[in-house]
Amino acid sequence: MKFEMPESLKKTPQHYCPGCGHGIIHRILSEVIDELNIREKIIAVAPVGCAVFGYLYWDFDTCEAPHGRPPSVATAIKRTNPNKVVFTYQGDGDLAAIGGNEMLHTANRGENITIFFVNNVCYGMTGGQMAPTTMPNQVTTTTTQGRTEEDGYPMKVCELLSNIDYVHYLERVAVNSPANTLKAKAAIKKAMENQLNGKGFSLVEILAMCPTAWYQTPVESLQMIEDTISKAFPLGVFKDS
Amino acid sequence: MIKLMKGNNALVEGSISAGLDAYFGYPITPQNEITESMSVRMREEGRVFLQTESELASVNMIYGVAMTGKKALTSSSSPGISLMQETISYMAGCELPTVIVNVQRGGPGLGNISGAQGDYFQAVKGGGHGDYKMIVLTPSNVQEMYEMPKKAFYLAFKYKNPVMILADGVIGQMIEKVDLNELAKYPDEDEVFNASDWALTGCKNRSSRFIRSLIMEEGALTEHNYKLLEKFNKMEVEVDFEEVSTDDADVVLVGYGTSARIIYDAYLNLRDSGFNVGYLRPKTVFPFPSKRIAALADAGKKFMVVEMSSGQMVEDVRLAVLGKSEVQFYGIPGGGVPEVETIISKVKNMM
Amino acid sequence: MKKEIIITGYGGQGIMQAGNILIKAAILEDKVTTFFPSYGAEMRGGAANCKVIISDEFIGSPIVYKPDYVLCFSRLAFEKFRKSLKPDGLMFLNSDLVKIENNIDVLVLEANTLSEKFGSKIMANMAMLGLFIARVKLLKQASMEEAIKESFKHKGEKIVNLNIEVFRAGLDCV
Repeated sequence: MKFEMPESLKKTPQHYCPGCGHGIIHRILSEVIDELNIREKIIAVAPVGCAVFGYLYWDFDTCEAPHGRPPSVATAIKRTNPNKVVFTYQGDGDLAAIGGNEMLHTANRGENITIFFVNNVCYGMTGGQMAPTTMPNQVTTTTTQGRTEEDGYPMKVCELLSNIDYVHYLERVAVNSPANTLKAKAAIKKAMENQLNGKGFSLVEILAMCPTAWYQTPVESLQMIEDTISKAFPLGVFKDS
Repeated sequence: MIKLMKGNNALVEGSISAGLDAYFGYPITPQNEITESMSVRMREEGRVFLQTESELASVNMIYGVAMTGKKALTSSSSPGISLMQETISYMAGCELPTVIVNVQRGGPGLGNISGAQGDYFQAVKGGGHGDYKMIVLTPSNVQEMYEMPKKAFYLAFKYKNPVMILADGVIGQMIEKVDLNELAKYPDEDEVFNASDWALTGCKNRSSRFIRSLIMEEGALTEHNYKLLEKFNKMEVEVDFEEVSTDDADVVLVGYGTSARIIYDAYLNLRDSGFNVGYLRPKTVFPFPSKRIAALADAGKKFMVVEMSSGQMVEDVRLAVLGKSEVQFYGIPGGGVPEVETIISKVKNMM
Repeated sequence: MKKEIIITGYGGQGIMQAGNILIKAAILEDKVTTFFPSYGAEMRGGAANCKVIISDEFIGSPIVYKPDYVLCFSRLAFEKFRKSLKPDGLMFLNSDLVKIENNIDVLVLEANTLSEKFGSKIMANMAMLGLFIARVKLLKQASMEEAIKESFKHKGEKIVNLNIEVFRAGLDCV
């Protein structure tokens, strides 16, 4: 088997930290886009957060949105360009905190777009602060004694959105093992196909490692997803209708 | 076609005539007729209309449409426009052509729903973060509410920059005669509106593109700012104003929007009584008719600036005059409207 | 000629509609005209007024401070606007809604009562327009009736005719 760079990925070194999940997700997302032969139809929306530089690595048309607003930007692009394939790539701060309202209402309108929600339970780019998804007791730069009840409980985006009638597809996956990564790729592909088939709003939540902000080695961070994070955020399909 | 129409409704017809592709809006008085009428008219025309969950969503939607080289507009009133400022800054940074309409109401805060002109600084001096400028058009009658959207889109695409139509609740709510004639074509508009060399349209038969305002490479953002500054300076040629009887005037009345209508009444009245007064109405407040005002100051003319605010545009008049002549101000903030009789007596005191 | 009119009362009394009919009639006579509405936060029941200017020349400000004429539909508005009338101005009052002493110089019409004769008091605004036009002859009866027709045509011929009848009844009351 010949192992090549996907056409959708630029042959550029990425800035992500060692052990980060973004590189894996960029790779499988690019493979899916190549396999579906939609690279020339893509208009992607990059977030504010670690993936803000997505446009430096993806070899398809990409814009940047203000923090939290990718679903609004994507809605508008898709509505005025229904033949393009439009996705957002957002972190947990972007989607679940500052962009919570746009997420809810974009889902409620059943927009025919795809959201890839990378949940690494922290704000990575700004140095590891608490996110809405941060684990109980997790130490971050703004919960130095660990996240307490006063700081809130990990926000479950898939479970929350599963109550919205117009949402078509919700699945939570992880990229902490080859087996999980293959499942993640299948979910990404399905979410893209849903848009191509006009099925409406699809969101794939991807649990991803952030060893730097978790104060762990890359290997420990893989185990952290297995032992802790995927217990709080169970993997699986939450809606497919 | 001559019709009686509200300013807000005329703006809708003018936007549609200008080739608007998509409208996004959120309810707020005194601009609701725009959103309501767009909901009917855009759907009739088979174009995109969406009532959003917030002004944040609206402004980010026009940002998204502009990424693809199409024409998008949002409208709101003062508090809603405040919410949009972050993304307006992004649009300037990303060099995106969009049109934002502010039907100003009384402020600060929730204020009231009367027409006001308290958002001049926000529109002209920044509003959002960073070094940027926005072309700002100031309609003063219902006919201009019809005609200015086309001009706004033309300028937005020409300079790849957001353009604001800075109206107020009086112009938005009032009804008067409007000629819904076909809008004149700009000689180079096909070229100006052609976004194929920069817009995101999918990378078929070309290399991929990205549009961003995050520029982290050392020195690159400074360079980007200089490039933008050069563009903002070039906008000077778009300055537009209306001027009446300034040649022999001792005092020139200056006002925009609804205030311009009020000073025109005062101008007529004072001329009838034998006073040499002139009238100057900026139709763009960025770029501002500074050179013309400076020339009038050099010729020894005094100025009376009238606004529905505590005094905002008057600062630009004073900057143009540079202390060479007398500049007086009369304004009523918070949704009040200056009275013609007060203007008359104040001008007489300057004679 | 430039005449400034304020029509005032509460939301729901047809205040804005009466103003709209005046400007439509003015346009039919090739006059210059402006209409400016003013109301509180509520769509129904709050104080509301509209300012109408009819002129032969350019109209600057559409705001009216000292009206030539006031058409009044509420006590609150009566107290507020009687003081702002021009010295030679005229106040027209729906006296079903506002009771005043005889010595005040206003033109009164029991407009609700008159309208009710045609089935509903909802057309009191038409009765007041009739009284107003009969007294000041600012606009022609024919253009007023054309404007009324234009304003109600979406509600059908029966409603158009009823409103015109009430307007005519108002005309006869001067």
